[in-house]
Amino acid sequence: MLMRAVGGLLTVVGLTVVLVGVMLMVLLGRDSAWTARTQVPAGGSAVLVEPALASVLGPQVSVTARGDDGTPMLLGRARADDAAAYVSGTPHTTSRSLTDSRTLRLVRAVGGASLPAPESVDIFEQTSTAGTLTWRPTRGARSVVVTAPGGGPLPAVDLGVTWQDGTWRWWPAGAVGAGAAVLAVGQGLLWSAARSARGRRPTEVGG
Amino acid sequence: MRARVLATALVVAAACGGCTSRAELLGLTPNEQVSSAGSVLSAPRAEVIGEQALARAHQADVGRTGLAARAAFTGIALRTATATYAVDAVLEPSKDAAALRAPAGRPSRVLLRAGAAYPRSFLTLSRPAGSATDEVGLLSSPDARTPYRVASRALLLPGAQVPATSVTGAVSLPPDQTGLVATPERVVRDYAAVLQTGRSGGTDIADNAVTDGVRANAAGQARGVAKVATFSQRHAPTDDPIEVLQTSDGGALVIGAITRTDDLTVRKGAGYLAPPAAYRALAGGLARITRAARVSTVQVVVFTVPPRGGGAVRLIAFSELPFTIRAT
Repeated sequence: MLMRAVGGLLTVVGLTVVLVGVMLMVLLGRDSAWTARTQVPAGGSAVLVEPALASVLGPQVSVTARGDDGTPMLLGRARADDAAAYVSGTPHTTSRSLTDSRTLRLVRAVGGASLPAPESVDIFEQTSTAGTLTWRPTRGARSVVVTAPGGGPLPAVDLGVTWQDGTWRWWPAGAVGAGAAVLAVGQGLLWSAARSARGRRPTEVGG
Repeated sequence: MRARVLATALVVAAACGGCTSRAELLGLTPNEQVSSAGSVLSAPRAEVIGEQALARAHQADVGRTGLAARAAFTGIALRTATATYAVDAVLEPSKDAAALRAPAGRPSRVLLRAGAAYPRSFLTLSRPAGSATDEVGLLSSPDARTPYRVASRALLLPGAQVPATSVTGAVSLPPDQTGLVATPERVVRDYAAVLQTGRSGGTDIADNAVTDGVRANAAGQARGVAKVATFSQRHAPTDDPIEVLQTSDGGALVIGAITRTDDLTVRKGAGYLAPPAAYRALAGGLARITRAARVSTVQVVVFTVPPRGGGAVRLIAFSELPFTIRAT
């Protein structure tokens, strides 16, 4: 009875770990990277990617932004409070969570203020006009602001956030392997328990 | 039986997998608190910002336009820019070409201020184009949407040194900070008294060439107009905020401003005063002073103030900027 219980428990645990490993494999793909994207409609002054996405500790973070009309985007990383103050009062879009594992959720804010040219302010600790801004976050919340150079209206923007970590390469395979091993032991115990039960069954004597 | 166990296990496993946050699985740690410790700027970032701000100031000094001045300056530096340019255009008309060729000063040192609250500020030490001495600059930004601009500038006195402050950001002290040989606001007020009367109001302020120069200049002016007019000079702290940074030795670095007011009153029947070139430039072609004139000048002063019992206050940087003239 005990062997069957332990076998059942190990089977459950093994299956769980295997499922988690498979889920991570699907999520991270071959690049050990998790990417979420969305398209930001044209018209706002800026897109703000908040710390919940842009500043998580652990992986390297990349934010990509490409205008659908070829306009080069300016991406700037700043303290979260400075970034929020910079776009405050302007028509802008904020992303702070996901709608599903692959899609960024957007919240639009209306406003009548104009955005100061990003080149004219001193809040950005790192900027890029190459379409991608990459860094490894350290303690202290940072946001990323996507603007058109000069602070003019943005075209529709393909926005992406990617989290990448070298150690993630081994986690899914390790989880599947470890889960499979635990599953096998659990199944072995269940099989063994079933065989023992069969061995103890009284033999009917015909007459 | 085995099939039932497997089915149960699958359901439980799927449920557990669904419940587990993907972020937790990947070991992601939320990081949504902004830091308020130390300076918001790193020293290299402050050097870059300082270089850009000083370059804008240099452009404004060369171009001498109000538009360029508004982009480069704030506070005292902006208030005095127009007057300074008007005087420079008359007294140093050939300065433009030389200044254009010289590069803008690059900060050789930055002194960061701790804290994230606006207005934010930091100090630069740089060698202005064509200058033989370093300049202490106070750069200030009122909010996230406005870049740092030069709020005040003062030339370092010969042999003077800017004291060490915390490299991660010096604590900003209030003007009435105690624990020093005198509160910062008292230091500025007492130095204004020294400039006016030659005697301090109580603070021990070390002798320096600036005091002697200002007082000698006032005496000279009084002698120069004595036949025609009376001359008096007053000094008083301006209403501008006093910037105070804690230094590594427990003292303070104090940046303040004093208004110097020169009053000239022509005696009845004594004739008139021919204004000097600087006055004519400030007053837009003033030809003669027949009754009275009041000339205001802003003096930017930088002091090192030791902790209590640490000796005398020292003036380490000083600049005098023409401001206004009213003449009749």
